[in-house]
Amino acid sequence: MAATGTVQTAFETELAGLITSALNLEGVAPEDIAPEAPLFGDALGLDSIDALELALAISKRYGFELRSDDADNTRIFATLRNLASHVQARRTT
Amino acid sequence: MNRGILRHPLLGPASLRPGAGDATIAWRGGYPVTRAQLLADVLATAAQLPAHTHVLNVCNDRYHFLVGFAAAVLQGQVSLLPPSRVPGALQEIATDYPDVYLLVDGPLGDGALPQFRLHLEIGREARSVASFDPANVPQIPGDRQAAILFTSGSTGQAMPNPKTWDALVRGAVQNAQALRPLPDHDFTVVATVPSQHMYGFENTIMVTLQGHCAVQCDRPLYPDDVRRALEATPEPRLLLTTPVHLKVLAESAGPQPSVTGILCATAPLTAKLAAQAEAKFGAPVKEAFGCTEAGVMATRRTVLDEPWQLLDLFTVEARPDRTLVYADHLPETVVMQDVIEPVDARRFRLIGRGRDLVNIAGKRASLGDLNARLLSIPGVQDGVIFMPAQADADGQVVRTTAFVVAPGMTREQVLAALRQLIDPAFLPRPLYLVDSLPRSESSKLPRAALLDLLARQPGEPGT
Repeated sequence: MAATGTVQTAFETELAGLITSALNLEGVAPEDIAPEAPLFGDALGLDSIDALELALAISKRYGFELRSDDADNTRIFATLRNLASHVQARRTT
Repeated sequence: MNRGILRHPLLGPASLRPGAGDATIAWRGGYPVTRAQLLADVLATAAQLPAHTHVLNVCNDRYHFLVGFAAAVLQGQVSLLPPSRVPGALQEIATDYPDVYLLVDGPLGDGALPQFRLHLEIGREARSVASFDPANVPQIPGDRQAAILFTSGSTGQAMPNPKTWDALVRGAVQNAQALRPLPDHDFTVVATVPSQHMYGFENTIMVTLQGHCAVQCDRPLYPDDVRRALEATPEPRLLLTTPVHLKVLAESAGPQPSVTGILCATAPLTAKLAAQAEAKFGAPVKEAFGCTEAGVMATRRTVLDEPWQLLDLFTVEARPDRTLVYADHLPETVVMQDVIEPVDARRFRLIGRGRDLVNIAGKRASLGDLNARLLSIPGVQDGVIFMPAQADADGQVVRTTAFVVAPGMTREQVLAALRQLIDPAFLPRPLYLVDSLPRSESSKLPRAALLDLLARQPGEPGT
């Protein structure tokens, strides 16, 4: 059943921790990343350099590779919640 | 040097040979595009372009950029290549070049500037060889202004770097020398870099247009994308990339297809990372050294920790705090803020970079420029953007840090305003709001004081 609401699930917190450490987001605690807030663009302000570094961190930790032409890419990276759900479905480690 | 009315063919001397029309010049979505098709697309597009003296080419797709640029050259329109796609950068350029339109291939902007949308279907049937006539390849006067590339100046205004057709064509011969992985072999460039910056513009657009190589128009981002783009490209293939990308590729788990060579540029590369990449791809990694003003001017094989080797047309003179660069095809002497040490007449070592320059993930900006833009934001009373540390030599990206005095503004508001003015790569991470800056009596901001202020911020190591 899909998570709803503004509280992070345990896995979302884990993934948020990966994001803040992989991208050196100083001053941002993992629990500060609202699950349904935009990751890229304005709020958290991630850019394409971050996308690359995040993809590497995800592949190392969760054992699968991201692809740019995944039809759902915009949706997958839209929010922490979407990314967490995508990673959980694809992870091999 | 006055080149008079010397002309150069739009598609290079190779286009005048028998069978030239049938050769593959680009790959798009798995389909080959012949030179005949490219010429047909360029001629058709040129006939449709709106009449303006200048065009801002912001096409995302590399083939659209290629066709759009060539069509603009044919029509005598100067292509403006913006340093960034942020609205502020486009608007600033349009202010200085008012007779301009945006050449786009997707949604962009707020409609403030006139737009022409380019859309060329992938995989259309290639024109037959019979329809390609070398006599139809347009000849372009060498002194035609073809493009202006913009760089970050130190005063808050983008610096224009005009390029004549002659300069671009002769520069492309130099680039081909740097790129060529095997003598006398055709090859295809697969690039992770955009077409709008000098490195990508020279090495994916001009070299292709001039027939020195073919180009893979798919632009991969993730390691898996790179793998698939390489697999979709016939050998010999050359990977054109940057240290940030090379680090991610070298550290990624899966195998990568073999390539014949790798060219890396825009930021320093360590011998260690070069060795990892050579092992990953089974190919030599060459580094290219250059700048927007001069283009690629020197190369070296990084794993050997060699000195830089100048390309044929270039000579340099070392000064204590800068380097002078000369080449016949450049409009004037280029002054680089890098400091070099000559080894002999054709080789040098790089000693250091000027302190005003910051390089983040291969993008270059002047700290003076970034600071001027920060201070231009209404509500910002004082502020400073600086680099707390040098970028990690093994490619770990280090971002800028900022202290801002802006009573009545939130951190998010300052960042939102900055986001309109500077490339995202240079946005401060972190940005701290403070009551005042540690200025000295002469109003300077000593680096030690900034680092001390940084150490005292909550969340920084040591607090």
